[in-house]
Amino acid sequence: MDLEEKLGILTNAAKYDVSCASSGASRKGAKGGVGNAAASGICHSWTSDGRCVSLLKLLYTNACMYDCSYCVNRRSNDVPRASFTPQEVAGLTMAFYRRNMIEGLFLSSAVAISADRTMERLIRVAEILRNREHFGGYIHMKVIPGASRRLVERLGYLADRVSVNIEFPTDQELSLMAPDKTPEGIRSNMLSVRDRKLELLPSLFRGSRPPAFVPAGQSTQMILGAGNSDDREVLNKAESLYQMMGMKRVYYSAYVPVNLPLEEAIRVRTPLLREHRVYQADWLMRFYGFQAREILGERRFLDQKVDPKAAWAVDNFHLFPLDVNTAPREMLLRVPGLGPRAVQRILQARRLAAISYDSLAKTGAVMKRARHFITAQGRRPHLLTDDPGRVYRALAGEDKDAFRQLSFLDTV
Amino acid sequence: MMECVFDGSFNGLMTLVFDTWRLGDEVTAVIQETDAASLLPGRHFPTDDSKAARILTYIGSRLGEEFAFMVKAAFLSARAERFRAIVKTIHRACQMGPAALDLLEDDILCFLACHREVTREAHRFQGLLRFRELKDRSLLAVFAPRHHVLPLILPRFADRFPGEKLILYDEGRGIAGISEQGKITLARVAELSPQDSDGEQELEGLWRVFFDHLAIKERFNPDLQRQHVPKYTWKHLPEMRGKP
Ligand code: SF4
Repeated sequence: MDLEEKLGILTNAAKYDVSCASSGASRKGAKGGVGNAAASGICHSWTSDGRCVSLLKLLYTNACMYDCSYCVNRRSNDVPRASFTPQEVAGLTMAFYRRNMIEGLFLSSAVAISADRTMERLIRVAEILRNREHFGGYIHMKVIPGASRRLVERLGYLADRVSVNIEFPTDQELSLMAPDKTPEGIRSNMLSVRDRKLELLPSLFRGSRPPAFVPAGQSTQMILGAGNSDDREVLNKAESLYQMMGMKRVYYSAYVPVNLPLEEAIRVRTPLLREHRVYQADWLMRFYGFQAREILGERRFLDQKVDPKAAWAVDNFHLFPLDVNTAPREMLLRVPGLGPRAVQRILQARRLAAISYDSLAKTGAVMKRARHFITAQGRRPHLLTDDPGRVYRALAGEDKDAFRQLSFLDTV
Repeated sequence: MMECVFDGSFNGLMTLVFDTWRLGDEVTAVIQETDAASLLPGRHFPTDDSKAARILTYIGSRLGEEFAFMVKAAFLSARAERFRAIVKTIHRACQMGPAALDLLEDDILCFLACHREVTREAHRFQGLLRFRELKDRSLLAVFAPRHHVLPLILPRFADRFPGEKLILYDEGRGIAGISEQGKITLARVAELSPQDSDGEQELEGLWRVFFDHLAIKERFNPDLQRQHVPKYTWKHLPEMRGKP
């Protein structure tokens, strides 16, 4: 089988893994080496589904021993199988990187022979890149669920980021959908990374530089809509992963029913809007100081018609309107239509002079949304309603995401 | 009411900032002199490098390096009003310090927009620039940015590929930037006639295979793609070439 054919098969097999981030590690180009890692992450292209292409995302092999119900590569499927050699993956990475097509490599793999045997192959690729090619770009490697601690640690010294997918928010669901994987195995993989990072921490404070170990942190992924779990379980799980496992990112992936015959698959709606809302909620937890239970209120699922920030604001309508000239930063951030940039500008501008209602738009605030929740110098345009139900409907009418995605789904 | 004319160079603009220091609000327009329009009415400000150096030192020490960088980035903008916005913003900042940038005044907002658009496009091309290998193993990237981002991105690529000879060619402006052995140079180049190295076609082919297999059909969303990869960049992207 030639390289082109392998590349096709093993790209195809890897594409449902959504983690596209290449950010989090910053490194200058070294003399005699190739490449650096930019802290903000760089997209090199966008595919026709609008997703960022940052890393050469491949499966090392798709010949899997396991039989997870949701996966194209499961043992029981009749699909073309292929495997790279470590040299091939390293060669493609270097060639694409030199042409500025990618930021680095994101390598995952099906389980061939055993978790540890597969991990050894992945480690080999990383060793060629780092030690022989002196590659300084980004490397994200998947930990094969259940691999031994020793190998996870070895990989951690070569890769910028490692991740092991948790797939489902509850142990029961994982055992049901992925009978060959164990929740304990996945947990222990995450702990290996967390613990080693913690062990290296004191030497940082002593001023000596420990060798970089997973400098961009670990991440994981949950599939939405393959099982029965609700957003409450998903967000609670994510929150605990951020807090207890020191997770850098949790990714979410709307399930595409890859194992149904086409005519059935077409009738199943890929829950794209749900995924979008969960990402928005995740964003609120990470950057806006929200807790999972605040975001959900009494709900099991996030509101679909308005984004979670708007839903929260309507739920807590009694806290509004806020005066933009006096409200504290944390509260301004909770106003729909005010992002961090607009809030920053408001804080800066109001130090110089009180902000008038009419100049608010110049701060970058989306007034169509924000107007329901703020006043400036005691002024609000009349005709605004104090009825949260009507505010909710107004916000829902302006939610472009809901419109776009719903109409997209309706045609399916 | 005063229309100011300068030669279009960065030092020329800084000279103008220096000379109009006390005239502040009277400046109504700042125009670049081109060959055809050298008879433009208005007051002409001949470039004086020592004045420019003085104003730059002043900006760097009083208003901060970040502000100085913003001025340089805004200058690379393709917006017609950029010159006036820069002059007005520096004057304002000299009166009241860097806090001037927080004012909600049109010239300052325009200055910020210039800076934002330029840095955004520079960031975009950090990803969308494509190199190909030439016969002598040097790497060539041809592109056609809206703003003159070449001076901003060249050092970043020089840092990324310290051992390579790099040529970045801005096709629209006819300017090439070269990075070789730690040295960076810019030059006017009317035309290039590059010769690709042997494996180059094949490699682009592999890249296209990767790219085409990556999209998930169920999520087809070409509008989103076009938002991030605007059409004007397609011509120079091997993965987009020839696509509708
Ligand atoms: S282990 Fe499960 S999820 Fe991973 S490739 Fe094999 S079948 Fe797919």
